Amino acid sequence: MSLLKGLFSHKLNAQKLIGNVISSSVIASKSIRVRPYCAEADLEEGEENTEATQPKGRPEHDVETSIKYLNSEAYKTTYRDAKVWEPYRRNHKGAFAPSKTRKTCVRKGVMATGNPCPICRDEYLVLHPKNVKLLDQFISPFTGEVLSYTKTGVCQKQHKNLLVAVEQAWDLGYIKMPLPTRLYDYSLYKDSSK
Amino acid sequence: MLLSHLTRNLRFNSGATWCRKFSRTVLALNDTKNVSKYAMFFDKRVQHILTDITGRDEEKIYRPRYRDTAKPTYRLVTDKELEKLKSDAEEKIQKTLQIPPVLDEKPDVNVILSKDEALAEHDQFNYVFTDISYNIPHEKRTVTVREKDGTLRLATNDEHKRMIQVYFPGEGRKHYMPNMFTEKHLERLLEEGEYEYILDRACVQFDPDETDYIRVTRRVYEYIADRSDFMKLYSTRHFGAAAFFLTVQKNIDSFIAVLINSNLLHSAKSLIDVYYMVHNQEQGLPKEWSNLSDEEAIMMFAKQEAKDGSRIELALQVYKENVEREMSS
Ligand SMILES: [Zn+2]
Repeated sequence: MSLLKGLFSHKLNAQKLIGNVISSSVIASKSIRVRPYCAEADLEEGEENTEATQPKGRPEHDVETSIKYLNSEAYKTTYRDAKVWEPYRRNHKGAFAPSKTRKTCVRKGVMATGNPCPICRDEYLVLHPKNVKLLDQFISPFTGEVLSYTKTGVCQKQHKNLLVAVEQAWDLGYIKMPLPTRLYDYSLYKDSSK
Repeated sequence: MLLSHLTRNLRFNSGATWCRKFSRTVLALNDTKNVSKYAMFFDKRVQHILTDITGRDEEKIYRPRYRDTAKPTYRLVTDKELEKLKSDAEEKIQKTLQIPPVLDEKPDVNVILSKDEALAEHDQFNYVFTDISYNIPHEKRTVTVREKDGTLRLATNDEHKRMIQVYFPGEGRKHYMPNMFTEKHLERLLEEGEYEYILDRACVQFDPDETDYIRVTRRVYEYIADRSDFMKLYSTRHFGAAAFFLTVQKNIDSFIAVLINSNLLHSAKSLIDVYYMVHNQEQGLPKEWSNLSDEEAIMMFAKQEAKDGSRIELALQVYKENVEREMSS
């Protein structure tokens, strides 16, 4: 349980961001604290009970909760106007980051790192085709394609989940897909329609 | 269907004369059908009117889209270079506003080329042969199927499309029908008013004579007609297509009313021209049509042809009152 508590009050280091001009100066001055979103934190009162009933490790939430969270006051105070990955900074040995992000942040249902990626660190961010507000933050406004993990810092496992969720959202029409302009050769259809 | 588990490609050398012969027989079969009203789409006057009424709201045409990643550049150019840039921009507009053809459904192909009983039970699968040589438009590519019982036939429309997708996967086109075109999700997108995106994606995903394309576009146009929401398509390539489709369906009353409300009287009259061209192919336009003013022509149409003439008359009356008010003030 102490592990869980540590998860909730995990402090995110929002140091000076390289390459993120937007709002970096605002965020850099203060550190961001990810808070539990709803009343579930109250469950900690009866510790012995919860430990017996709740599965060990990281709690999982459904999309509806996640969508509600993204529209809530708690979300706003946590991230302010930044995208969820903007205040995140990878920690690594040496001056240059490895070309790939880590394989996964959660191993055997337990947080396995001190600096989990932007999606793993907040359990209320659920990657799902209906969660348009979250997916939109990972799509380039210029090309309409999914941003690279080198930019967002998302771990490989969550990046894969992200690609799947975006593909599903394109398929269902929740997110607009980048499309080419199709040119028609009228002469092909002229003959067959007469 | 267990087709195309095994596919083989076959290059036809020397112009593939025998394939052409067979595709001609397919065409001949179609000739016996009546001349479709949709064929009027390719009529030069109709084309001219449809592109004319599309409108050129340059802010809408040039709005940033995905993939236009180029930042604006500023530079000094000579008059000659400026002319060149202007003509390039014009060409680009014409490409983005090219109207997707409005067609009848493609009849299914059922042509048996040969029956070779000696080849019966040659394998457990059907074989599909695709002509993948260069410089053939995909619509004219020959795809044949050798059945297990030894018959050689032309591929059906569905098989044809799937083989084209295998060898020439188009950008943005999926090998399955995206779920957004199923009824449930299509209705949701219509309620959100994403007409242009639905139509754009349908253009990329389907061929214009495919059953699904016709189903999707028809639903969108009819939905728009019910809600008189045409101006959302103004200055897009789909405006002319919607106008033509609804004209053939004799469902243009709300379209004309919308055009009058937007002070596009001349476009309304042009659309009525198309209506007469499509439906009165023998008689042509009514007498003294060219001498009538826009208002008179629309009035005449409302009285004689329109299903819901009162609606057009009302729109016209509102328009007249607005003009009078502007004159007096
Ligand atoms: Zn992670």
